[in-house]
This record gives sequence, C-alpha cells and structure tokens, in this order.
Amino acid sequence: MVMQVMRQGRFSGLIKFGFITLLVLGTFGLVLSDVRGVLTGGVSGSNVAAVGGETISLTSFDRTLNRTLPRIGISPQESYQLGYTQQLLNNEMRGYALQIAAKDIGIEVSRDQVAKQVASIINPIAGENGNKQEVLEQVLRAQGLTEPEFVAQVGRETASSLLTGALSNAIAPASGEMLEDLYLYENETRDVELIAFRHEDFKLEQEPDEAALKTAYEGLKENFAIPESRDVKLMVINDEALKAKVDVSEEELRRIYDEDKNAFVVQETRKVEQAILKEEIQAQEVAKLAEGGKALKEAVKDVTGDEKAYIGDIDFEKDATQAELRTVVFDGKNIGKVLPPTQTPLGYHVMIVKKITPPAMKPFSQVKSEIKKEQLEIKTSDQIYDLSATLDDLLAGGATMEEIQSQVPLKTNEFKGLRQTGQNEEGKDLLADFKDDASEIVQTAFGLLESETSPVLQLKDGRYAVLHVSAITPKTYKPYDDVKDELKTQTIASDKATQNRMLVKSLQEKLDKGETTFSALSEELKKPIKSLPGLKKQMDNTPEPLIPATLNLIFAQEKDQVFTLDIKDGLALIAVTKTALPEKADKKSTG
Amino acid sequence: MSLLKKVGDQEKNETVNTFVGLKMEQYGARINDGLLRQIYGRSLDSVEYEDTNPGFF
Repeated sequence: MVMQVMRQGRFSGLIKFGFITLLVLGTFGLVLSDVRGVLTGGVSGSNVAAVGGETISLTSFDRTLNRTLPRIGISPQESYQLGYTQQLLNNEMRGYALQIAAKDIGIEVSRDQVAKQVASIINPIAGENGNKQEVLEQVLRAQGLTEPEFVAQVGRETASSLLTGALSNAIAPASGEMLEDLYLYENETRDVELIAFRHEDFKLEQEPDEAALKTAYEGLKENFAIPESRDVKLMVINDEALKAKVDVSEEELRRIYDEDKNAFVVQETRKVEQAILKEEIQAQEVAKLAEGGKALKEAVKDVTGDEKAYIGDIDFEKDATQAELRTVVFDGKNIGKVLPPTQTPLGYHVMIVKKITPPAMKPFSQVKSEIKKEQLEIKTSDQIYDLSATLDDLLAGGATMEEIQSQVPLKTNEFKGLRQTGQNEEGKDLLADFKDDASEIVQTAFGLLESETSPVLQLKDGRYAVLHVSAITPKTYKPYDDVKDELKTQTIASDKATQNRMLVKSLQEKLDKGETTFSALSEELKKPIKSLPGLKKQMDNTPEPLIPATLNLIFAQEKDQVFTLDIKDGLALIAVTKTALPEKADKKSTG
Repeated sequence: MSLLKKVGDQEKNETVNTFVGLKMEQYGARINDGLLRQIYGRSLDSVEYEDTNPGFF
C-alpha cells in the first residue's frame, strides 16, 4: 500500500528510499498499467472520487497530495501531468474498495488490534522511555493527519492487508518453462544506432508575433484561469465565554460522589512478569527453568534462542483481564511463584505475579476536581445546545448577523479568498485549524449565495457553528499582459517541437520510400550517428538520449528497420542493428 | 531478488489487482475527473501533444 509505505517512510530512510523507487516505477509504469473498474464522471460536488458508499473529498485528497508531493519535489500540476495524482487517487480508492470488500467478507479489525498496530508504528520511535502520546502527536503533525483519520487509516490498511495476504497466499508457484521464457524475455539485449533531433535545435523561421500570441492566449485561456474564491465567516458558538459563567457547588459535587461511589473504586491490580510462547512444550520448559530460579528473560532466551517472546512487567486489572488469564493470575496470593502455562489465542503465557495492589476507594478530595470538570462540561454543553437552538430559530426568522451576534456569543473565524481546495491564492491552508471539518465547510460555503448564512452545523469536536458567505469572487483569467512572456516561451518551445516532429516525419517517409538512407541523412544534415550497444528492457541508468518511458519500444521493432522514437527533449530516427538472447544457463544468477 | 520470487510477486500482484479491479467495478468506483482537471490540470504542456507512437499508450 502506497500510503503505508509513505507513512512509515517518514521514519525509515530505507523505506523512504524504497518509496522514491516505487514512485519512479509508478510514474513510468502507470502509462502501461490499466486502471480496471474505474469509471470517470458521475461524482458530484467537491468530491474527487466515490467507491461504494464512501466518497473522497477534494479537501482531504488535496491534503494527501500536499503531504506527498513535497517529499518528491514536484508541483501538483506536474504530478497531474505525470499521472501521479490519478495514481495516488486510485490507490486511495483501492484502499476503500479493499476495506469494503473486507467488511463484506466479514473481516473486522477491532479497536484493540488497531491500537496494537498503532503501537507497533509508535514504539520503535518512542524507544523504551519515550512518551508515546507525544510521539504519536509528532507523527500526526508531521503527516498532517488527525488522530481519528490516522486510526481509520490504520484500521483500513490492516483489514486490507489481511485480505490481500489471504489472496496472494493462494497462488501456486510459477513453472520452470515460464521462468525460462521470462528470463529470456527480460534479458534480451539490443544494439541501436540513432540520429537525434532535439526540439531546441530546430531553427524557427519566425518567432510568434503579437497576433499569434493573442490567438494562443484565447485557445489556452483555461490554463490561466483563477478559480472562484469566497470570503467566508465561520461563526462558532463561543464556549469559552460560557464556561466562565457556569459553576458547580461543593454540595453538588459531594452528592454526585455519594450517589455514584462505585465509579470511584480502584480495582485490584497485579503486576505480572510474563512471556508468551508459541509452543506448549517451550512454555513448559521456560516455566521449569524459571521455577528452578532462573530469571524469566534468561529462561526464554535459553529455550527459544532470543528474547522476542519475553514481554516483561504488565499491570493486570481484574475486570479488564482476559478470562483465561484472570482465573490463573488472580488465584491465590502467591507472589514470585511461576504460574502454570496458560493458553490464549496469543500463545502460551508463562507468568509470575510480582506485586498485588488491593482494591480501594478513591477519597472525595482526590476525585473532586475530576467530578467538577465533568459536571462543568455537561452544563456547558447543555447551554451550548440551547444556544444552538436559539441560533437556528433566529436564522429561520431571518435575523441579521448583527441581531444574531447580540443574542448568541459567537467567535468569528474569517477565511478570505477561500478556494474549493480549502486554500487561498498563495496556497495557504485556510482551514488548518478546522481540519476535521474542512470538507463540510468547503461544501457548505460553496453551496451558499452571496450574503447567505447556513443552517447551524455541528463541528466534529461537538461545537456548533454557522457559515456566512460575505463575498464571492467569480472565476477569472490572468490578463494577457501578465502571462505574455511565459506564453511566448511556451509557444516558441511548442512551435519548435511541432515543426521538429513534422521534419522527422517527412524524413521517416523518405526513408520508408527508399529515397534516402540512414547514413546519407546523417551526412546531409551534418548530424552524427550515435551507437548505443547492449540495451536491456529494464535498465537502472537509461543511456542518453533515450528515456525509460520509450525504451521498451526498441524491443518491439524489427531489426534494421528505421523508426521514430521519442527521446529526451526531442525525437530520434533509430534502427536496431543487433539483437541477442542470453544463454539459458545463466538464469539462476539473474537479479 | 531471485527470479522465482519476482515471478511469484508478479502473479500475486496480478491476482490482487484483478480482485481489486472487480471490486472497484462492483462498488461503482468513480473519479470526478472534471474537478481534478479544474484544480490541478492547469498547464500549457498538456495542450501541445502529438502522438507519434500510436499503440504505445
């Protein structure tokens, strides 16, 4: 999964390197791979794609893109042209499709499993003593993801990996004949001779004049479009102001404590040192060594050869412990005794109880602030809910913004020049503080008329808000004078490319008709014939001026026949002079 | 990477790709290409293109 590779790529130079390789392969491999099952069109509004009931919004996809592209140093436009944007989107869609398929089949990833998966990503970075929460937050910041997004993504990828794992393990190995054919196919070598015609070298008879540039501008106008933008105000009910007014009395806190004493009981916990082994016999050997006085960690090492199965100390809370383990761990009060190996779906547990902390009741003084915090939150949210109803009534009654603000405490966030990507003209993410709601904000804001206010929305964090569109700047185009120089450079380059293509096409026709020869052309045009021996279908360094994207075409041509090939910054007339297949005996040494 | 592993991986990928392709079709996977083009497709280079190698794509 590309997402997986990318995420982990942050932390591992090796994987990062792998990703770059993957991208290069992807960039050029893309043109050859078909995207099966995807239709275009038919997705409405600001969503870029839909799979089953799931949609991928432009804002969320744009974030994925912005997270990925800086690492490989290409712009969104270049990425779109290279087809990488579509490939990335397709990968996201594959992820969704696999997730739905996994769900259909009945693969569900529990929150526990997701938590373990997240831990396996975080733990190696945090180390033994690192603060895991902090590391998680750093990871999220670095990735530009929210925690729910990250968790959902890990869940999706875990389910998908299970499914793809099951699919790919059902494959029979390839036959010897097939390997031989494939080896021959992959390792064929060819020698070529070519005459290069670089676009840049083509001499134009005349540069485009003002009139030609203006015509080009009209034809390419869409390329200079400045998308519609809107000035939007997001007014959130100000809970800070409310919190200051709400209070809970000491008597009320005491009453809640007395009424709900069970909630403040701390259960018995036992600190348990444990090892989890795959085989029962190993578990018994480890238990025997530990009973004989050997440290558990050492015992695990002696039996299995390494310490992987040693888990270390963990606090078990009685009610939260798995039933199989609970009956063993919480039986009796033998501290330091090696408990009999116990089987769970994880394997055979060998455990030693190190410490017992008896159940206790938390005193009122200790939990008072906790109860108060909770009560304040409940009271504030009740009031906020009431205010949201008032706000709704005011909006329905046609109240002006001023009237609304006089009755409901609102905190205003202004987004000037908001585009459908959630960014402004400079590419700044205006909705950075509202990432969870960015998609809904954009969708709502672009569905309103100028001076219109939306109905009350509930944000993902529970707060209530309304959106007001104060101005709409319609789609415009950069004026001709601003883009003239850029346009001229581009037009000259494309004129040269077009005329160069026409020249090469006419030379190719002459060659086809037998009116000239390869060497006669070289002499006539004073262009040298370049020899490139030993070309292979897949090369780490494609020799100049050939390019990886068209290298394969050389292997689809007849020997000694001149044909036209796209090369770096131009075209070439090229002919295969020699083809060779490798000796079959080498096949095992291939890499 | 040994050739055997290479062939094996290729077949596995092929199987997974076919499966995902079928599922995408079943779930009616759709791309809003108009929106993508509108947002990211603004560049001169995309306009000037002449296919001299028909059949390659």
